[in-house]
This record gives sequence, C-alpha cells and structure tokens, in this order.
Amino acid sequence: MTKTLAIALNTFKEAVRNRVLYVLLFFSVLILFGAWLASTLSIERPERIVRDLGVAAINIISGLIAVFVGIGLVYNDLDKKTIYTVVSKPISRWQFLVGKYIGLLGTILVNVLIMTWVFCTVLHLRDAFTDEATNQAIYRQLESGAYEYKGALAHLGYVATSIIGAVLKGAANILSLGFYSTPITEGLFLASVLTMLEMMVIVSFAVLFSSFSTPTLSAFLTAFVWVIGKGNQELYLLAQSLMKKAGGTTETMDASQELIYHFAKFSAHIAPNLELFNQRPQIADFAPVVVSPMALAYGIVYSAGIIAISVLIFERRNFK
Amino acid sequence: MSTVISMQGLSKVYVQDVLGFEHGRLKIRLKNRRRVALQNLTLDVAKGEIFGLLGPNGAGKTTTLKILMGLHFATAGTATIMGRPVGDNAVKERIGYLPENPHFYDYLTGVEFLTFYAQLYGMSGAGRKRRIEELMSTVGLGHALDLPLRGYSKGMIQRIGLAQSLLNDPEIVFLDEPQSGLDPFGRKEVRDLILSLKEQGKTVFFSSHILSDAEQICDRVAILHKGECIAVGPLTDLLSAKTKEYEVAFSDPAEALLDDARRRAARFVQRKNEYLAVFTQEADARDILKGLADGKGHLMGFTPRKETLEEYFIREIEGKRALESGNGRNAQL
Amino acid sequence: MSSSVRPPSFASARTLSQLAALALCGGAAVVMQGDYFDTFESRPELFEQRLRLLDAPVMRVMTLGFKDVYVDYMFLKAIQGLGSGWIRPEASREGMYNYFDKLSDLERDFPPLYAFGNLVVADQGKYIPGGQKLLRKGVEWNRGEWQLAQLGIYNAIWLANNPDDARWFVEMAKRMPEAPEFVLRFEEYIERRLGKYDAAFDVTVDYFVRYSEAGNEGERELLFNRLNDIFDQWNLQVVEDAMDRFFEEKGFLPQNMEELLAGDYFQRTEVATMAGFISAVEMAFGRNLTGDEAKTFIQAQSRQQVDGLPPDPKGTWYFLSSGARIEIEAKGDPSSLWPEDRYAYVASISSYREVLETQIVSNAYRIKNSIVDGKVPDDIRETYEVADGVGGHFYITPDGEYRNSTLDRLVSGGDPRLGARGRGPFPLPLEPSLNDFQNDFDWAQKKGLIDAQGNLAVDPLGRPLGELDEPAE
Repeated sequence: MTKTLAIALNTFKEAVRNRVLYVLLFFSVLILFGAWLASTLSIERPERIVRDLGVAAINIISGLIAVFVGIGLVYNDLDKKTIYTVVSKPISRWQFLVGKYIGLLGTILVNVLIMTWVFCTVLHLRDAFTDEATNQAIYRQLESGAYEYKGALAHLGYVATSIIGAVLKGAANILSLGFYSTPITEGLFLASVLTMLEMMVIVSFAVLFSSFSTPTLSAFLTAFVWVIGKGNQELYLLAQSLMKKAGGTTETMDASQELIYHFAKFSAHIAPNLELFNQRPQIADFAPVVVSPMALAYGIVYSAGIIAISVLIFERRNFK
Repeated sequence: MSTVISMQGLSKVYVQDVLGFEHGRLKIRLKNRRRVALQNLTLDVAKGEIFGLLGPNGAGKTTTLKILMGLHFATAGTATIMGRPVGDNAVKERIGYLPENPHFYDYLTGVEFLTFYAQLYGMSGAGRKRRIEELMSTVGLGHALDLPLRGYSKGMIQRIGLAQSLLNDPEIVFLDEPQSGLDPFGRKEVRDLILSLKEQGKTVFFSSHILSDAEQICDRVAILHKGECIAVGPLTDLLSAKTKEYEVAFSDPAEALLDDARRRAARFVQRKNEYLAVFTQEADARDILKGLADGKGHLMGFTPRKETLEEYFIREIEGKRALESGNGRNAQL
Repeated sequence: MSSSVRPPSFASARTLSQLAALALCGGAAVVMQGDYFDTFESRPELFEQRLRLLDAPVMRVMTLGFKDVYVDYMFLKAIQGLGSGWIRPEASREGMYNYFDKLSDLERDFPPLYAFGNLVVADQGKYIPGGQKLLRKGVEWNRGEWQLAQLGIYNAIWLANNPDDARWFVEMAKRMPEAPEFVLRFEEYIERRLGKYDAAFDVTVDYFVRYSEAGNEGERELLFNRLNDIFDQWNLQVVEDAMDRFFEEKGFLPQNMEELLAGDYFQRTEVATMAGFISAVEMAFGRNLTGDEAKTFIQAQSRQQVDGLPPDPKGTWYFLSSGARIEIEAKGDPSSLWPEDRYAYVASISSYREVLETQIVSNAYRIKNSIVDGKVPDDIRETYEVADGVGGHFYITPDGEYRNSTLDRLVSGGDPRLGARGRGPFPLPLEPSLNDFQNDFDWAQKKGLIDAQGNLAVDPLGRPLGELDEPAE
C-alpha cells in the first residue's frame, strides 16, 4: 500500500509540475468569474445562471485535466523508459497502475477543490457586491460617521474586506467539507463529490487507454468515452423514440436512423452513464443535492472494472 | 560456487503487427513481422562473479537483461534468479538494475528521486535518509542533492542511476551498458565501483559492446551475436588462448637488427627512422628486445597484443558462416 | 542595394505593394461586414434563421450532458437578441414561440423560459395563443411555480378574454401548495366576470366562513364588500335578462323600469340576497355550525326565489337611468354596442344616492363660504345649480344649503312615485321623470334643458343634443 501511495505521490508531483494543469486552472478561474458576468445579463434567476455555469465549468475543466494530464500518465513512463527502473523495484505492475490512477485522481481532487473554492469565493463576492449589500454597508458607515470625510476610502475598505471575507468564507465552505455552507454555496461541496465520482470513471479510462496506446490516440479515446458517457442516456432515449416512430422495428428505418439506433443501444450498454453524477438541475434550483448510494456504487464498481482491464493488459505487455 | 542466475533456452521473438493494404484498397489486415532477438540462450552465473554480456549493438544483450528484470516476457525458455522466477517481488527486493541510457523523473531533485525509489523498496525513516546521502557521495553527487534531475549532465544521470540500483544493497546488480556515454575518468570510476561491489561479495551482471570495459574486470563473459550465444567462459580463455601478437616499436636500430626484425616480423612498418614490428612468435620478439637491450637501437614501446573482441567477432562470425555453409567448425568452446 | 543581413526596408516597392494588398483586402472585408450589419435589420430571414433550433431529443444528445448550460446560454442570448428583436414589428412571433418551445423541451425546469417566452411571444397581443401555450407548459412542468399560473390567469382574462383558459390555470394553481390565496380567489373573479354569480357566491361564502372562523376581521370585511358586488351584479343580470326578453319582443330597449315591469319579462329566478345571507349567517351561528356544514348551510339559506325585480343588496331598488340611456343611445344603434354597454343604464338607487351625496358634500362647504351678506352670488348659483342624472336638480336654499331634489324625495321616502307599487319585493315606479315633478320640470325648462313639450334639449352633460351627431375628432 505504501508503495502504491509512493507511486501516487510521484504521479501527483509529475502532474503538479505540468504546465497544462496551470493553463487549465487559469481558464477555470476566468470561466468562474465569467459565470458571474453572464449572470448579470439575465433578467430572471441570475443565481441559476451563475451556479449552472460555474458547476459545469468545474466539471468540464476537471474532465480536460483528466484527459490531457491522464493521457501521458503511463505513456510518458514507457516512452522515457522511466518505468524500467520502477517496475524492476519490488512492486507489482498493478501497484504501479493503481498508484498512477490514485495519483491522477488526487491531482484532480485538489484541482476540483481549488476550483470549488474559487467558485464559492465568486458567489460570496457576488453576494457582497449586490447594490443592496453595498448600499447597506455605506449606510452603516454613514451612521457611524466614518463615511463623512473619507468616503472613498471607506468604500475601498468595504471592497477589500468583502474580498478577504469572500475568500475566507469560500475556504471555510471547502475545509468544513460542506458542513459550513451559506445558502448561496449550498450543495456545491456535494457537487464536487459527484464530479469526483465522474472523474473516477474518466480517469480509469485514461489509465486504460494510456496503458496501451499513444497520447494522441488515448486523448481522443478518453474524450470520446467522456462525450458518449455524458450523452449516453439521451442517446438511448433518442434511439427509443426513433424505434417508436419506426413502429417498433428497425426495418422501416433509413440507414442513418438505423446506425444511430444500433450505436445508441450498443453504447448504452457499454459506455458509462455519467448522467448519474449530474445534479446540476438541483444545484441550479437550490434543491438538495444527493450523492445516492447507487451513484457511489456505480462509480466505484465501474472504475474498478476498467482498472482491472487495464491491469490485465498492462501485466501482459512488454515494455519497449 | 552456487548459481544465482540461471537461464535455460531463453528465446525472444518480436512480432510486430503491421496494417497492410491490399490491391490498393484499404483492407485492414495484420501482417506479422517477426524478428528474433534472442535464441535459445542458456547461461548460469555464479555467486560473487562479475559476468559480462558482450556483443555488438543489436545482439540481444538488452533483451536478455529486460527479460531478467521482468520488463519483457520471453517467447520460450525459463530464467531464475536466486532460484526464484524472474519478476518475483522477493527477487526484486535483492537485486539492482541500471538500464541502458537511463531516464528518470526529471522534475524530481536527486534526493526526491532516490527517496521515491527507496519508498518502492519499503525503506523509511532515518535509515533511508542516511543510505541516500551515503550513496550520493559514493557516486560523487554529494554536491547535487537538491538539483532537479533535469539539470543533470549525462554523466551525472548515469551516476544517480548507479546509485538507485544500489539503494537496497542488492546481492546482484544488473548493469546495462554502464559505461556508455561516459568519459575515460567516468569509465574508470564505474570500473572501480564494479570491482568494489565484487569485493563486497556481490554478483555483477553487466552488458557492454566495448571489450576493454570488460576485459579488465570480468570473471566470465558470454558473447552474443544476433541473439545467439556464441561463446561463454573466462575472457582469458576466450581470447588469450588464441593467437597473440607482440608489437615492438624502436628507432635508430643497427643494420643487423633491422634486417633480423624485418625478416622475422609478420608485419613491419617504417616511418622515417622509426619502426614498428609485429611478431607472432614470442621468441622472435624476445630476440629483438634482447638486441635492443644490447644497445642496437632505442626501444620505443612494447605491447603484447591480445586478440580484440572485434577481431574475435570477425573470426567467430566467419567461422559461424562457414559452419552454416556446412564446412565450418564448432564455434562453441 | 540592401544588405541581406538586414530586414527588408519598409520603403521597398515589394513591402509597399504587400501593404497595399493587405489594406485593400482588409478594407473590402470591413466594408462587406459593415454592409451585412447595416442591412441586417431589413432582412428578416437572417433574424428568423437564428430562431431555428433542432428538435429537443437531438439537441439533448448534441449538448453532451450540458443541456442546462446550453439553455442558459440560449436564454441569455434570447434576452440580448430577442429583447431588441421583439420590438421589430415584422419579427415572427411563431418563430419565437418555436424557439422557446424547443428550449423548454430541452430544459423543462427553468421557469423564466416560460415567463420570458410569454412576454416575448404574446407581447402587445401579437401571438397570445403561443404565449399561453408556453405558460401552460411551464405550469405543467413546474408544479410549484404559481407565478406562472398567475401570469396565465392574468393573460387569459385581460389579454385573451378566454375564461376556460383562465379557469384551467386556476385549477392548476389550486394544486400548488405555495400558491397564495389571491391567486386562488381569481376563481371567484372569473365566475363573476363570466356572469356565474352563483358560483362566485359559493366560493366567496367558502372563504367568508374560513376567515370568520380564523378570526380574520380584515379579510371578512373585504369579503363582505365583495358579496355586495356579487349580489349587485347578480341582480343586474336578472334585470338584463328581462331587458333581453323585452328587446326580443319589442325590438327596442325599455325607456323606464315601469315598462319592463308592465310585461311578463321578469321570470321567477333563484338569487342570493343580502338579507337572506345575513339571516343565514345568523342562523348558522345560532346552530353552532362550523366548517363545511356552515358553508353549505349559508350557501343554501341565502338563496331565495324572486318573481320580479330583485332587491339591491343595500336595500334600495333598481331603475333605468334616462340620462345614461340617452347618452348610450346617442352613440348609435344600441344593438351594436357591447353587451355591458347596452345595459349600462340599469342602476340602483343606492348607487345614485351615493353619487348625489358625494357631490353635495364636496360642494357644500365651498358654497357656504361664498355667501356674502347672507346672499348667494349669482355665479355660484350658475355653477352649482345643475341637473342630476336622474331627472332632479341641485339647488341652493336661501340660507345657503346645497340640496338635491331627487335626494329630497329619496330621504323623505314619502313620495308615492318612489313608493311601493307593482311586482317584486320593491314593486315601485322606478324612474322618476321630469314630467312627474313639476318643480323639476319648471327648473329644467327655465335652464333650457328641455323644450316646452318636455323633450330633452341637451344631454345630461349639458351638451346640445344635435352636436353629438357630428363625428368626434
């Protein structure tokens, strides 16, 4: 176990020293602030827009990290032959692979938590800088007489304390594992838990593809699985409606419809159903977010299965 | 002497699957391209010896080592290390390995790197720290503890590679071309290290394509060519039993001595009034040296020349070709 | 000759020609793009193109699990794009309906899509059915969103004049636990507006009982007033039914209530009356009835059979206001008027009494203050001594009191012309005409309001009657 964790820690270090990660994190911060901006464009329910866009951005960026950092995961070790000296140490190949998996998952976990923290901060800032809140703060200062001579300074002070307060409150939301949450950040921690469950599945595929193919191909394949997994449920429903329209038989379908039908049926049975981990509608509506035992079990069992396949392949291959 | 490494009929055939086109139409079909990397290798290495695996590039040395390290799977045959199958974790606990032209995680510093590897051995605590510092100074990297590996020169990488292969104080050390890419001083240091390992009672199994690396330290060698083992034995047995040459360089010789040397030499080279004579008989060389000692000229140099590995290869391979064509002799010693 | 180790000079012919080509292409691109945007307004097809969306199942697949985000984006886009676009008169509301319909197919749980979609689609009455369809969908998918139902009710009543639609939204609102009372009470409003006073009465009694039991005096007061309105309008409907029959038989509308009462135009009908309601409430109280029992008891006991003219809930009676009638008739063919306009001259004495009393109170102080040396100036008399709408007139007594001849008769109650005669609970000769009261007749003639034969010379607002025929500006 400690050996696996050593591999995981090293993988974490490798990922943390990868420039792609920082580019993606930077973009996530941009998008999260952009969500705030977008919400101001709405005439109704801006909270929905900001929560929706924010949680989706965290989900997408984590997926991109999984794909772009995950693909080089095993391949880089094979390509640079660093694996020679690792595998010749007293560890099993499965330990190596599982270590890699845990390491990348840990990297994504840290990133998801950072992004959620940034997002909570954005929400707190958004809350602090509503006209109402700002005005109230200014009135309070007027009452205490602080605003009279140094009004601009007092306003700046309000801005500064708001920013610091938002950052601290956001950190508290994350560090308390979601137990401390203001109404505006309700459910966001559980949302990141769900995102992590989804990432468990995606990273297992990244490990699988990375263990036998080139980075470009495995990036493509992993992204493909992700995309299919996300649209899987809808694709299946589409196929069902096609079937209903065609009168219950594929014979009356045209070629493209039949292709969609069979592809959907096939992928529905093979590809992961990532829709299970999607509770954005609840988050957007401030409804309680639930990490169902079903989703939890599915995420663990599915990724364990994929890792098992990866190990089966990996234990049988020659290192170039 | 007990056998610690044993290989029985090891063979490795690389099968490469290639996508093929047929009649100009894309018809995916796998064509097998076979390449024999190792053929029926049987070797035993005894405890405490320095064993050299020699051969030109592409002979199968690295393949052999990878199979022993569990990085490759053999197509046929068996191999055991200390009586256990290769790839067994209990075996890996007691061996060290340095691959050819090693690459390591270059984002780690020297100490981080060795710490990581030590963790893979299950080492921990103060002992680990002490062992790492000790090894770093042993391989002469005491100054580069906290430098990232990306800043290491090729020689330094080779040294830290040696350090990682010795982390667990192994009983057998496998070194794949340990001296390649090193300057003459580096080569000497590696040679000294290998000898000191032997002194500590460790077994060293290393590969090289340069004979001079091997001939001074190896107890025994195996010579590979195109995946086949063409000779195994002490290097002295393999080479010194063969024709030796005695090379005498001199200047300003007496007329009689010059004539004598020219007559008896197998080859004779003159450059101004400097002369180089190569004799095949020890008596001839002795006579000339005696003459020179009597003041019949100045001795510039004397080199008893053994057969080189390259020459050995050429001879053995020609012999093998002759064998293949049906009228050669058995190359096996 | 430039040296090859230096970059080419900007002054060289080659560089200049390159720059010129660049400027030409760039300029052309800018001009073309500018033209595209300039003519954008006048090319509705470009605008329409943006409204076309794929079908929801396909979109759902295409958005790869981020359909909510896609909908957010399209919603924001719609606010920015359609917000300016929907002001365009030529923009197709059907296209916008499809846009929001498909987006809401994609993301059902986003109420603003329906509300904003309704706003865009049904705005200015452009495509009300589409707007209502969106709201219906919104109510169906968002069971807790009573605001959508309220909007639906509101639009159905005031925009679409579609009571069935409105009733549907009320039904849905009733199933929403969070819907406030005022939304549910639209039910009563709809029934009343539709002339279903029966139903409106039952609903109001229900609330009345509930609020009474809850001790909510304020709401009870409001409901009591609403009951007044219901009884009043219910009674008016009975009168109007009689007037319909009169019109059918004679081809013209009755001039006064006596004409209406003379024939067999009133039929026996069941109405709830204020007197019946009050006694029913007292009886229910006496019997200690509560809840549904009290409700059904009051509902049943308040009703009574009425043969003729039903009573005004405030205890007076109905009459036909000749002033209002003349004004309405002056507008042209009465049958071409809206039903509610045709019978607008059916009024109750109590309502007139209120009007007259208000006028007297508001003017009395001003007149008293104008008295100089115990004498009312002529211009004050000119201003305030005017005809009222029911054939009487305002006058100022020598000691400066402001009075009304009609009100005098109403207050004294002794005038036989306003006394009980004929059928119904208040069988009275209901419209006092100028001919009936000599002093009013003389006064009107003196003022030039009627001619010697008693025919009106001016309308109740004082305008000579002939002028009304001329087209209004």
